[in-house]
Amino acid sequence: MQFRVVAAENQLTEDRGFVVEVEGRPIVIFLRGSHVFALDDLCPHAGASLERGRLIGNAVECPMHGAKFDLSTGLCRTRHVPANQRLVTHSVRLLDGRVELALASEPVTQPDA
Amino acid sequence: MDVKRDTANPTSNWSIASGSRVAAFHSAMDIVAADNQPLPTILKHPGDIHPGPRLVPFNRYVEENFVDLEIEHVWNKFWQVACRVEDIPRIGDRINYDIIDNSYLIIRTGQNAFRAFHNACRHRGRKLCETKQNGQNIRCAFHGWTYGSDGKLDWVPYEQDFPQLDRKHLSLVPVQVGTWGGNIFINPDLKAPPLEQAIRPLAEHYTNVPQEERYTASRILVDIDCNWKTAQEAFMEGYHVLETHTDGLPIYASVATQIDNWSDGLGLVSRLFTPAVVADAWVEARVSPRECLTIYCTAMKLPAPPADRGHDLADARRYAGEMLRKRVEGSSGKDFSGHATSYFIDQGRYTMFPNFHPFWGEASPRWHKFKPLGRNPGACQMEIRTLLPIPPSGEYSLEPRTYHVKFGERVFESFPELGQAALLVDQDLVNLSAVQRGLKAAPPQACYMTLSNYHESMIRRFHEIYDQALGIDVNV
Repeated sequence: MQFRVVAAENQLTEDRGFVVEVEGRPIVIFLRGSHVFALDDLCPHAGASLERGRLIGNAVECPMHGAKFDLSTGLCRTRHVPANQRLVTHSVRLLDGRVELALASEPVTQPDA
Repeated sequence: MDVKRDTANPTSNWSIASGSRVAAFHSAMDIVAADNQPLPTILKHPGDIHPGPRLVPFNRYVEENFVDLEIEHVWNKFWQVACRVEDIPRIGDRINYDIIDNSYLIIRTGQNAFRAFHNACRHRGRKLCETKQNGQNIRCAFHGWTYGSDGKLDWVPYEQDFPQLDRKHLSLVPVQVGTWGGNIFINPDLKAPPLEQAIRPLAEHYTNVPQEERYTASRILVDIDCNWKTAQEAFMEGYHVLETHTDGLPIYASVATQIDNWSDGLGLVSRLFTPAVVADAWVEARVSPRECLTIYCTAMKLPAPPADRGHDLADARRYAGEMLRKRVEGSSGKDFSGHATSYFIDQGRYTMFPNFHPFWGEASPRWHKFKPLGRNPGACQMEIRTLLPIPPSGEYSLEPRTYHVKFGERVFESFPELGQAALLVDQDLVNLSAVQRGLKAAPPQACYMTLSNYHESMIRRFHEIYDQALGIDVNV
């Protein structure tokens, strides 16, 4: 797993996602307390960005149609997409004020439409 | 169409489709405050529910199984307007209220007392009431079984052939009945909370403008080739004014529409509030207050403003309010002093789940109701009742004119005497059957609504309640 620096920790806020592009792939990073999460920034339902989605506990709500995704697994908790259509998650860590990310091996999330 | 990046975060994936924007506009509250009068009570109590984004699939508008789900979970469970008190003015008057295959008999049993029952004879099921009638009792036209106005089985011909008959258990099956504002509501669910709870905060908002002191001046029934929810949702936002009622832009501040969704009572009531005699933000740079006022007076058939009136926003509104007040006082013989300008000119459009939409104010004194027509999910009927104040004499026509507009017809073409109100509804009718056809044509991966955050929040709220009622957990 190859970690690379994608952002500074002080760029992250609790109330909103932070989007970076890694090898052309849009990734949204969420800070929840001391935990950090990284997912493809592409809702599998209709491709919307999750950057401005409402954060509810350890889930993000897609601002387009309200789909709710678990931040650690990328699984959709509502019925917007079938259970096997996961939002791809990536390994991410905070190290000495840096945000470091390792891209998942899975290809980028494909939206339905 | 250019795709713009979010300039606040250059790496953001957020791709904003190009579209028009309004940089700034006066809010509805700002506009009313500028009238410099005591704020109408109805504006003192903002809504406390702000619905989030949700999935609203198209199937509920087009599939027949939703017709059955709605019968079971909506029409059998929620308070709905059946008729008005002046429809059955004398003791003994009864009228039927039919919705899909359900049918109810509503009867006036006293000065201000009503009963309602499932409209089927306990003998062999014949529908008892098919039209408005009067009588001391309720008599079945098939074999003559006769019930009292309290629904009790009173008299049976050739009783000797029914030794097994137990009258106690063969009375008409009652449903809950309640009145508010002269509207008679029924609820088939005997366990449902009372009407007083369901209509909150509507009753509080109408305290000093009681709807029961009004009568039906006219009824318009419009048969529409679309689902009842499709039709009513067209009236639950002001967002479509820009495209559908473009000629309304100079005189209604639709962008400034304030939306309130309340949790009071059972959380069934919402409101759109749109200031009038104010140019919409889209055109306000091009329409002076006086031009706006002149157009409004033409549309509403009010006397044109004299040369010295309407040169600023507040005076334009004040003048229009004075003219509307004069008109309603002249036609009703009642005193309407003590009401703010806003009451005479602004649009206060309430919605009570599932399908009742009373308007506050004198500019459009009416209510709308939308019901499914039969088991076809693509057919509905909109009812528009114009309600005018009962004159001090207490006399008014008990036979209001009913205008029935059939499928595919237009209101103004059918009844030009209805004027501007008809033209407005016709502009909406242009869309409605096309929406229904589009809902059916959408492919599986794209058959859901995408609703705006604010202006379509009343529709989001409707579906929040609807999903809960039907036990649909797609958004849970």
